[in-house]
Amino acid sequence: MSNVLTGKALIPGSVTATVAKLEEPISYWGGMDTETASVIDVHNPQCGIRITGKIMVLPSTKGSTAGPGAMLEIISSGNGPVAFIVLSADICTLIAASVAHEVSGIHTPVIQVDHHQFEQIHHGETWCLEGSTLVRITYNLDA
Amino acid sequence: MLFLSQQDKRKAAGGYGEATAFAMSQLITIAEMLDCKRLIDVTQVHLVGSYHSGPANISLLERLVEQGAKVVVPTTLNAGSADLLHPQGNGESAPFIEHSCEVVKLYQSMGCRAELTCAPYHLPTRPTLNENIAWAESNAVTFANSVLGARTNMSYQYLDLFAALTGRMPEYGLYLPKNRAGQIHCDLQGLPHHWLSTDAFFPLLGYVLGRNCKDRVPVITGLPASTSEDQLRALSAAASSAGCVPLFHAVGITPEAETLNAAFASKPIQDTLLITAEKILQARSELNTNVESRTKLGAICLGAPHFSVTEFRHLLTLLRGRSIAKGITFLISTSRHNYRQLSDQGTAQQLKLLGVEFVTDRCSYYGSPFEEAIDGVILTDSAKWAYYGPSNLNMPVTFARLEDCVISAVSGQLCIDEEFWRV
Repeated sequence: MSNVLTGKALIPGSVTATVAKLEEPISYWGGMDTETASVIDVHNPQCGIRITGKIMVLPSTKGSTAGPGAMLEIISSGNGPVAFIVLSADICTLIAASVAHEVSGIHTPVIQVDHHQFEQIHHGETWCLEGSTLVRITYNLDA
Repeated sequence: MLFLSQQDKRKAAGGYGEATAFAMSQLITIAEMLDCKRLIDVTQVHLVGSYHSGPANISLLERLVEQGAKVVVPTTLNAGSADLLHPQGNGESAPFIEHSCEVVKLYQSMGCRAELTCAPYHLPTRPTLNENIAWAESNAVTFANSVLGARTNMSYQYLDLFAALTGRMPEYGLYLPKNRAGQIHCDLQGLPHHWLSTDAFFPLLGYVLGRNCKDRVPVITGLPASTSEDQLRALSAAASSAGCVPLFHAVGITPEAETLNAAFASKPIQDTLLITAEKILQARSELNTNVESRTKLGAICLGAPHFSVTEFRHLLTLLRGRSIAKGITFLISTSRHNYRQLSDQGTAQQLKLLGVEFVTDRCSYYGSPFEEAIDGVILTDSAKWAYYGPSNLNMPVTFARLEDCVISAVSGQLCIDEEFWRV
C-alpha cells in the first residue's frame, strides 16, 4: 500500500484532514442535509455521516442538476468539507467549489484520482493534500 | 488546450461588465478542467434553481444583479417548489414562499422569463434539430436531445446561469456528435402488440431503460409509427427519473435514427437488451409503493412533467362530462403557459366544473399539495410522479393507466383493469 499518491489537482490547494469516504455516488440536492452537512439519502451506504471539516472522498455525484446550489450552501455556511477527492472530473463538485470560493472566500481544493488510488484511501484516515500530491498521515486499521 | 475567441477573451477581461467577466471566467475554469477544446454558442437556456435553497444562493444572485447581470439569450426558469400564482395551499412556510419569490425576482431582473415549468419544450421557443442549447431539467434534456434532436447536456445549476449571461458553453458531452451515437440496442419485438400503442406503456419502457442502460445511449426498435409526442415525453421523463438517460433514439421515430445503422452511427452493435413483458410488468410493480393491501382511493395526481394541452383534451374526452366523486382530490400540475391556453379555450373552466384542480409553477409531489389530509392511495399516470412521490410525501402511490385514473376518480373507488396487463 502506497502512502504517497499523485492525482490531478482540478482545484489545487493544501490541507490535512480526516477522510469521510462515500463508496457510492450521491446527489447533493436531496441526498444531503444542507444544515447539518450530513448524508441523508437512505439508499447510500454512508447515510448519516457528516462531512464538515473532512476530506470528502466520493466516486462522483449523481441525480439532480441542482446539486451545486446545495453544496454551495454547505460550504458557504462554514460546514463544508475542507477538500474533495473524486474519481471523475465531476462538474457538479467543481462548480460548487468554484462558486463557493467566489461567494464566501472559502477555498476547497478538488483532486481527481484513478480507481486504483481511490481504493487506497479509506474512511477515517488522515491525509495531507498538497497540489496534486496526496500523503497518508495515519492509517485506519479497521479498513 | 482550450481555444478562446476574441469575444470570449473580451468578456473574461471585463469588456462586457463585471457579471459577464465572472460568468466567463467560471466557464473557462470548468472548460479547462474538462479538457474542452473550445466554447460554443448556445441559443437558449433553461435554468434550474428557481426556489429558495439558502442564503448563499441569494447573495450570489444579488451580487450578480448589482453588477448589472443580464442574460444574452432567451432564458426560462424551471418549475420550483412553490406555486407562486396560488401561494396559499402550498404546504410551505410563509418565509419559504417569500424567499422563493425573491429568487424568482432576482432571476427576472437578469432578464429571465418566469415560466416556472419543467416542460420548456411547450413554449414558443422550442429548439430544433442540431441546435445547441443549455437546459437543466432532466426530463426536458432527454426530450430535447432525443425527440427534437437539439443538443444539450444535463446543465448543472450556475453553469446554466453562466451560459445565459455569456451565450457560451464548454463543448463537451452531447454537444459532440461522436457522443450521440447509440450504444445499446433495446428490442421490443417480444411484447404484446396492444401495449405498444397505449400511453401507459411508454413510462414503463422509460423506467426499464433508466434502470438498465446506465450511461449508455439506448436505441429502441419496434415502436409503431403512430407513437405520439406525449408518449415520447412520458418515456423521456421516466428514463431520466429512474436512471441517467439524457439521450435515446427510436428507429423510424426520432430525428437522429432514420435507420438502425444511422442510430449507431454505422458502428457495430455491441450490446442488446431484450425488453420482455416481465421487465415491463416488473417496472409496473416497482411503481406501486407503500400500497400493501390498501383498497381505498385517496387522490389522483397527473402532470409530471407538466401536463400538455393535448393531454388535457384527451382527459376531457375520457371524462365525458362526468364529475369527480365527492371526497376525491384530482390534481393536475401544468405550466402557466399551458394554463393560459386552456383558460382561453375554456377547457380549464370545463375541467374545474367537473372537480379537477390545477397546480402551476411546481410539481404536486413537493410540500403538501392537498388542502386536507389524504387517506388512501394516490393514483398517477406518470412514472416520474410514482418514482418521487412516495419518498417526498410518504404516501402510498400506484402507477395506473389514465383510463383507470379516470374511472377510479368518477366512481370514487380504486378501479384498475388488471386484464389489460395480462400476457
